[in-house]
Amino acid sequence: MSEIVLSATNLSKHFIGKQSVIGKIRGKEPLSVPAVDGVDLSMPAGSTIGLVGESGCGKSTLGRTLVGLYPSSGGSLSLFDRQIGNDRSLEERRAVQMIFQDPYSSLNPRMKVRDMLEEILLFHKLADKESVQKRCVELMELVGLPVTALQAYPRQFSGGQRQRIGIARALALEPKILIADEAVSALDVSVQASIVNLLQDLKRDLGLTMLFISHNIAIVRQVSDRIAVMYLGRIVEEGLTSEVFNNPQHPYTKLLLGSVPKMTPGSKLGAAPQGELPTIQARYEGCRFQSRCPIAKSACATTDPALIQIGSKDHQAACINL
Amino acid sequence: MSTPLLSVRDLHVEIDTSRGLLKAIRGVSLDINAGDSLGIVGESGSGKSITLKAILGLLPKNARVTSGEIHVDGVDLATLSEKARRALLSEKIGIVFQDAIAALNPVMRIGVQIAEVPHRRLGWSKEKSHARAIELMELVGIPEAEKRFSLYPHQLSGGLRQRVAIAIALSGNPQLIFCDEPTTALDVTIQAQVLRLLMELRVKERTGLVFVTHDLAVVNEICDEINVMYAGRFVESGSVANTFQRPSHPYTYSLLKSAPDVDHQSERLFSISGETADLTKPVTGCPFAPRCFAATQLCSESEPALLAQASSFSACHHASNFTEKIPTDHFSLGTQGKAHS
Ligand SMILES: Nc1ncnc2c1ncn2[C@@H]1O[C@H](COP(=O)(O)OP(=O)(O)OP(=O)(O)O)[C@@H](O)[C@H]1O
Ligand SMILES: Nc1ncnc2c1ncn2[C@@H]1O[C@H](COP(=O)(O)OP(=O)(O)OP(=O)(O)O)[C@@H](O)[C@H]1O
Ligand code: SF4
Ligand SMILES: [Mg+2]
Ligand SMILES: [Mg+2]
Repeated sequence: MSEIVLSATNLSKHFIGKQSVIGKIRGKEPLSVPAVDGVDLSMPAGSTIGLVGESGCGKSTLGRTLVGLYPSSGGSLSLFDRQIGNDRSLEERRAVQMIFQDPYSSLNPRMKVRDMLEEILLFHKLADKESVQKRCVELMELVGLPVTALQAYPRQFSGGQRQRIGIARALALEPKILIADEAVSALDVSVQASIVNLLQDLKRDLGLTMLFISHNIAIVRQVSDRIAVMYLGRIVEEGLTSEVFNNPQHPYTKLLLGSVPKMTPGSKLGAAPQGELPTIQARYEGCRFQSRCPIAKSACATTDPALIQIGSKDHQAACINL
Repeated sequence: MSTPLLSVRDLHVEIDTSRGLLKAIRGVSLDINAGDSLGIVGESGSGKSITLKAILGLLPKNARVTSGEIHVDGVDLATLSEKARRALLSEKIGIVFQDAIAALNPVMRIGVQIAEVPHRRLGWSKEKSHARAIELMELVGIPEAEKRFSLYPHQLSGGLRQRVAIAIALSGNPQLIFCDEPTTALDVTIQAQVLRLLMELRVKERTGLVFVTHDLAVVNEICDEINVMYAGRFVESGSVANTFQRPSHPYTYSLLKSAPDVDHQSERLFSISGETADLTKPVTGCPFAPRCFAATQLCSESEPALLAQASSFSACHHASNFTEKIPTDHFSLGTQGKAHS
């Protein structure tokens, strides 16, 4: 087994919902939204883990909690075998970087690319006044942009180019781990392909470990070594990509993969899960998937299933009926 | 042959933009019969939505049809008064667009919105229209239809709202449904339910379908025919089976290779470098030439017409032999693409 660079144990992030005025007067507890609720996830060095699941299941919240944008509300996180808390050191923060869906909203529109990169490099002391210039040029080469791009403002770039700038900014910090949250979702198919290729090259050349979050399951399959399937705040299945796709175990994974349109000639869509992702509850009784599950038994209403290993495979799922 | 439900001949649309006059649609033709299902794919800005809007008479104010003929059920729309044209279009064609929120009236109960067409246009009684609305809500898979009848759009999830939009599109019993990215904002699970519903309507009611999307796999699942749009024209048209197996245009080939397939993990995705043509400038050669791996001198001199090939129609000078020039080294193509896209 390769070294685990980042691991979450029973990690949770609960949002405290807005409280109505009447609720306040009556002294009711504000509603808690357990967006991430007991996640176990290990990221082996140099691998890409694809994170999939329906809208609202907690993918972005998990990504942001791993990066440290959200403090966790429970469980633990370790980076290279060292526990990290909610107050991260500068070095710990640098190690885990995020790439967003809309790089535009996360880039300062009044700053040239060069100024933005220089500021980051100098602040984190990753370059000095002499070497900063050279490092900026290297970063442009790394993400496949011409050096002239350094002189331009974010609005002067196309969507694909902006995403390259977002990637350059993340790479400036020399991270060990990249969290890509819907990084190619807003791009046209052909541009999408070039960014996917770039991420795969960078991961290989720089030895990065990546969490690739996307609702596009075909792209996730393309880039990932491992797949994690999330449902209502939990990972319900995780394993090698080939294992999970060829031999899905959890009934939710089966239904999810069955509803993905395919390019195979004559393909006809399989059974989709009935209904929609239920809203997140403050507390669950039994398995979270029972309301939509085609194989639910009475025990499912009372037992909260834990992730268990499937045979001797590098593959685990959380269902008591396996 | 019977009269097609919809027949469009050589449609041209121009748009006034801040950058000048945009020749957005440059000669589009299509025919649809009952039970047909036709996919339109192509990159952002290629003219898919404007084509649908031009047919429906829903173009923005700065845009106009400059030439072409549209026949609905054999009737030439140009011969009708504005009012008669609207009536015919709304009777025959239901519309489902991507943004269901925008299509729904936020201050009107959803059931009432669905019942409106039977009540107002078909002149049905309130009770009968109400019953029809419930029936449609059940048909599109809205659970507890009776209870949800009096909800407002904001009280529903995205998936349910999109189903309300489909129910409204169906409320006038159209013979044809125009869908413009109707499932792009939905989860794959909900998308599968909506796609299945559309397929059922096609089989049961012989409803014709025009489906605009970025997702080639969706076209593969629900369409029989495909039109690939590039710079305001169809550059390839044919059956989905033939076109996906043996594309006759380099752009179609590149699109198919750039889309990942959930059934396979490929070494590397094909990427199309460069930018699409600027249609405020005159088109001299093939608009795809600057990005095409098979382009020759001829390609930059004259624009190819859409002509019959072995398995489909293609607008490419080298439709029969471009495959010889497919780059074997995706790698170099990928790096080249990096600098531009
Ligand atoms: N800042 C916040 N405050 C309160 N609730 C939040 C916040 N962010 C997310 N949530 C809730 O947490 C849950 C998970 O949201 P999250 O954005 O992580 O889902 P997601 O899986 O990324 O969905 P999508 O695929 O739509 O991006 C949702 O119910 C959401 O409404
Ligand atoms: N209201 C408008 N004013 C000016 N130009 C417009 C307007 N609507 C569309 N266009 C232009 O017309 C061309 C065709 O646009 P259209 O909306 O049909 O593209 P599309 O193929 O539907 O793209 P997408 O996949 O992004 O929806 C584009 O160049 C677009 O910028
Ligand atoms: S006409 Fe020429 S440039 Fe256009 S697609 Fe065919 S080979 Fe490529
Ligand atoms: Mg998200
Ligand atoms: Mg459009």
